[in-house]
Amino acid sequence: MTSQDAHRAVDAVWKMESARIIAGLVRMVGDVGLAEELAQDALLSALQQWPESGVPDNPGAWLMAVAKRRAIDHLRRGERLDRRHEQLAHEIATRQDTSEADLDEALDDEVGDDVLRLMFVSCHPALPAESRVALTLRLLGGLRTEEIARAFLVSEPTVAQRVVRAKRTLAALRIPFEIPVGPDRAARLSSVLEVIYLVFNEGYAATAGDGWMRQDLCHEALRLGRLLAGLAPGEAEVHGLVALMEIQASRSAARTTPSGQPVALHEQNRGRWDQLLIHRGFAALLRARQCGGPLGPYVLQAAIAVCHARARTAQETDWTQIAALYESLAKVLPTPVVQLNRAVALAMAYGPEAGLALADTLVTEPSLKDYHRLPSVRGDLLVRLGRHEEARREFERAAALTLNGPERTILLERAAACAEAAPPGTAPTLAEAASAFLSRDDLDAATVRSYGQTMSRLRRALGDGTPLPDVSAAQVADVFTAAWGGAASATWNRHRAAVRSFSVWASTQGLLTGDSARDPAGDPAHDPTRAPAHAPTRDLTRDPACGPTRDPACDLTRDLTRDLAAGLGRRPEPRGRTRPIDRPHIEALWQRPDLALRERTLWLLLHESAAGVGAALALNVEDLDLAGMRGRVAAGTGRESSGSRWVRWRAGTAELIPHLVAGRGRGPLFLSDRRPGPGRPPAPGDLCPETGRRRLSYERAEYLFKQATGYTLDQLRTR
Amino acid sequence: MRFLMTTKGGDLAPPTEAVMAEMDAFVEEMTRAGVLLATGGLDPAGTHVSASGGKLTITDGPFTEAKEAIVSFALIEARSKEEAVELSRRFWKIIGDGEGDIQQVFGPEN
Repeated sequence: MTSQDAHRAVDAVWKMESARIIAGLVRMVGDVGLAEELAQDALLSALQQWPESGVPDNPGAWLMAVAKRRAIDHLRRGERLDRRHEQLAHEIATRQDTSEADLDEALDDEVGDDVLRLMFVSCHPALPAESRVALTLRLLGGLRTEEIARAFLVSEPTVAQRVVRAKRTLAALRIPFEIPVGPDRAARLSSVLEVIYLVFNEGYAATAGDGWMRQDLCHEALRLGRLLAGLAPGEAEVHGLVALMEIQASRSAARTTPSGQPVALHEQNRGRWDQLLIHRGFAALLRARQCGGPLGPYVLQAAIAVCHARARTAQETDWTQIAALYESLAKVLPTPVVQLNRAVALAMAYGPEAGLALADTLVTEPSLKDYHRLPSVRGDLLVRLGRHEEARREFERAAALTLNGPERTILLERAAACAEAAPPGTAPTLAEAASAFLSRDDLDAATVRSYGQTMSRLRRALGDGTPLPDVSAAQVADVFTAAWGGAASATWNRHRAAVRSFSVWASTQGLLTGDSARDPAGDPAHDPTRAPAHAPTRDLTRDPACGPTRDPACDLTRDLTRDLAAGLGRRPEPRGRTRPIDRPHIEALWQRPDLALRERTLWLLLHESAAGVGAALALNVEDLDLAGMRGRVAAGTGRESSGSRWVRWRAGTAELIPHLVAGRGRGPLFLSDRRPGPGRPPAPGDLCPETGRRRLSYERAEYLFKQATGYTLDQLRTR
Repeated sequence: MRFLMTTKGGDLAPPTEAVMAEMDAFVEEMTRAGVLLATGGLDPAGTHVSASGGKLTITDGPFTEAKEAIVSFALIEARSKEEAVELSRRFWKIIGDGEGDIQQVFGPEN
């Protein structure tokens, strides 16, 4: 065979055998990093020898035998040759005499469990999700660093770093090589399932243009899932996940058009669904049900997928059953996205009102504020209710939020179809009024910037095309709750002040009551910007407008203007010093094993430096002075100020920061978990040029801390 | 990638019990790992169908060249052709002598 053929053959054998080999070695040497090194040595030997000698009869056993010899050498060579090592080396050496066939048999028996142990270790919750994924694909999938990098669209050094850091963490925490039992088991297993499903979804999200490696992640996840199902056959959720993935994968050929346009489930050509995978999915769900126990989230999601797969046409879908399954799912997985899907199912089963009632409750949900599917679902339901004008606005909002080009086109087409069904009124839109408000010449630049943030959030949440008179104080209050409900009082009050100012201005311009323009009895040529002498009120929540001559500087009382900020209470701002968290609580916090690296670093930095949260989040990698344990940030934000100041930390932070920097050369030190969501792209300075992620936001940082501790970040400062 | 592996008939002796047992274990292992999607044996006789000018001609077997008839198949999921070949190597190591083919199966996405 040519050396290229031999290399490919070695690679194939490696991918098939590496998990068993590494797992067996970890059991012997007790360290994942070392085991992988030894296995790599064996791989190198194969690459050197097989082109000459041909692939051995039992390549797995051959690799294992070589790796074991390396393990013995290593243990004997070790500088600190203690008795344990000596004994270990002896044990391995004496077992080495067994023939390769016996060895292989022994491997099959024990190694099954070893592979399962390895999965539990590489998916350990102490590791950040991205490290778990990289390590698992490398150790269990036999993927090369370069393949993982290509699949996840990140650089090779980034993946290598993740793997190295993960191995170091596992060694530092002395994670035992064992199958967890007892109360820990469920949490550890769900961490394994999460990793596999993450890999699957990364592949599922890939589009045709992304190339084979990304789409192959689906196959890799399926392979890992099936492998896990074989190793832990008594776990219902494992079979549930496998069933879910088999059925989702069965639709892969039908879910896009040849040109890459997404095709909605109910419009897919079911003849292109892979029946083999569907039946594997059915069988896996059946096994899950045979395991008994309460229905977990994966089993329930798989059951929903099975409902769809069983329907020969979209019309035959059993929506009543699906709605019931979503109700159960919402109990075990109470996330807003599940609720949104449940709203769709309810609408299909019991009519659009039922769905809309649930979808409407999600409008104030902060985690959905930039999620395009919420307005898109609401638009859909509103169309079915004949409320075309509202539907049009929802589709336009959804189009503005989605990042997917083809999807945006479809949403805009739907908005246009709604507009034809119900032509929009001639009242000024929210976008027009907001632009006019911000372009006044009596506002200074800082105010325009600050008000601009508020207005663009309102425009995004309520829709650019919404006629201003249709905006109610209650809607504004909903937007505030979703966007800034968890923010500091000062932030809330700043945005509130912006809305109050806008209300006053709009009232004086007579923009808030443009009803006659939308009134069928009114004059269609009516100038919406003209203040009506006696503006008719459309509902009781609105007050008549004040006259156009009113001085905007005067203190308008609510009964004279329709105050859009009426639903927004002013929040008391803390005076003086915030009470710091007690020392015992702080000490306990650092002991917690479940803290992600980013959070641990940020919190420790705030504690050690007593810097403001804004300053800490503003830190950039290029401005760190690691040796000096300090970082430079621009002094003051949003004001006319220049120069910079230093944030100084101590040893604890200094130890963590290099891990967090992870080889990056510039960009924000603290990054958000995700790439920028829909909506405004981040300012260039807030985008990491290497990872494409945006700077961790104040809101998110505060939220995470509040979730974890119940305190605010400010209280971390020592004073 | 999916591959269809087929074996051809021959005048070989029927497999021994030991071979059967080993093959069963292999099939079980491959199925559990999700590699083996379907497998089965085929009647070498079969029925020959030929369509020409809209006319169907049907001929019942057996046919003379028993060696050329496909007698078993396995549908597998592998990451590369090399992996399929490696699996085939394991299969033939159990069976012994014989011949067969490996062909990639194109799905709706190919």
